[in-house]
Amino acid sequence: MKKLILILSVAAVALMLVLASGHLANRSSPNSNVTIVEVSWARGYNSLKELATSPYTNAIVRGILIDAKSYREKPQEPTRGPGLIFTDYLLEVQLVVKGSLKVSDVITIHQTGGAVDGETMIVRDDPPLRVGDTLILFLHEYESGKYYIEAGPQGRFAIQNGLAYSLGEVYEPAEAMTRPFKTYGQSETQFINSIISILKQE
Amino acid sequence: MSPPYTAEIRMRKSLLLLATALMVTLMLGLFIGVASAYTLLDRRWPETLVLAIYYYNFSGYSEVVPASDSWCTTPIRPNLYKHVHWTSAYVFAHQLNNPGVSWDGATLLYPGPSGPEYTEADVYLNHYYLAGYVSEARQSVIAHEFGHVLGLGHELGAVLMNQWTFGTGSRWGAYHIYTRSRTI
Repeated sequence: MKKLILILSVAAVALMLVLASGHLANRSSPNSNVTIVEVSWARGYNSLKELATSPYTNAIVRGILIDAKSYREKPQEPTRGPGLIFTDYLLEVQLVVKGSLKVSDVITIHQTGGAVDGETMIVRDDPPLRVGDTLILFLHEYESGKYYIEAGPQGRFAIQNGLAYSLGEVYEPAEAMTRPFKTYGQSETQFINSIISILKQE
Repeated sequence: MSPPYTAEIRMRKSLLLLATALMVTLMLGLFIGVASAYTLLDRRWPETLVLAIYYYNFSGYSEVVPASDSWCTTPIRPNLYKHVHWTSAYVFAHQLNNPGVSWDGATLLYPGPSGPEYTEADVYLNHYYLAGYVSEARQSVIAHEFGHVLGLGHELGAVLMNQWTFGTGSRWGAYHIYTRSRTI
């Protein structure tokens, strides 16, 4: 009987601890030199088909990031912080799945976040791209030759060793915002073929 | 009549059942995680700070005050540029017009130099998108950003902290959420 009461007490205390820790589930604490940006995405998609066929997705390409330049954009009015950081990446197109771009074209990919003057800014759901990354990107052209990734984290897939990965798998500390169409280590060829197949059906 | 030890056996069985139920719940809590209506970010505001929100360069979104109603019993009353007092304003809201991003609102929270608490914040509302939204959709974005200011993270589903404004499963486009407790 005493053993049972002991088990019950331990279980009850453990349960309370789990409930309390879950309720107060803190996200990972950022480094002091890292500013985290929380955003509301204008558009989100529920499937690869929705994303690929969206009128906002002007281009779908495979490419490699060859350069990047970060800069700070400080509003004219006073801010509490030093202002937002953006990065312009240069992407060399290797394969065109949708749109009018051509292989070897070099386009600018504009992303919120980057590093300036010792400060790193990261959009929590959409960590900075990295020069040297090979990616499959779903893009929206907002200015001639300038693109942003449609739906932020949803529109970017990293290629590593011939496999395609959606965000949350290879870009820590990304939150898993790519639901419900996670692509964890799917063959790149298979992944591209599935996009081509979706587009052909339209 | 049952022998006296039968009652004890029943009691033991009941306790064992209760212990099992608790353990199962515990395991579920460990492996599934706790469902909650919100997720907190990594830091908090100190209680002593008044979260006045100051507005700059705004043509004037009428949705700001109702958006703040979602989180405060006493709505936030944004002050205009000329009334700014740096010593008492801890959150500044800005309007920008940026077609080169896929977000319609962004919040930056800054921790103090010595403590684990937030002490300042900037809220950016992207007029490029908001200008084309209906009023409730605009309120939905502003209330979402105010939720971040208060230290709330993203959640999926029919809640203000859903990270998408439009699209399948989105806060406004799918669920028509624009206040904490009301939908249309």
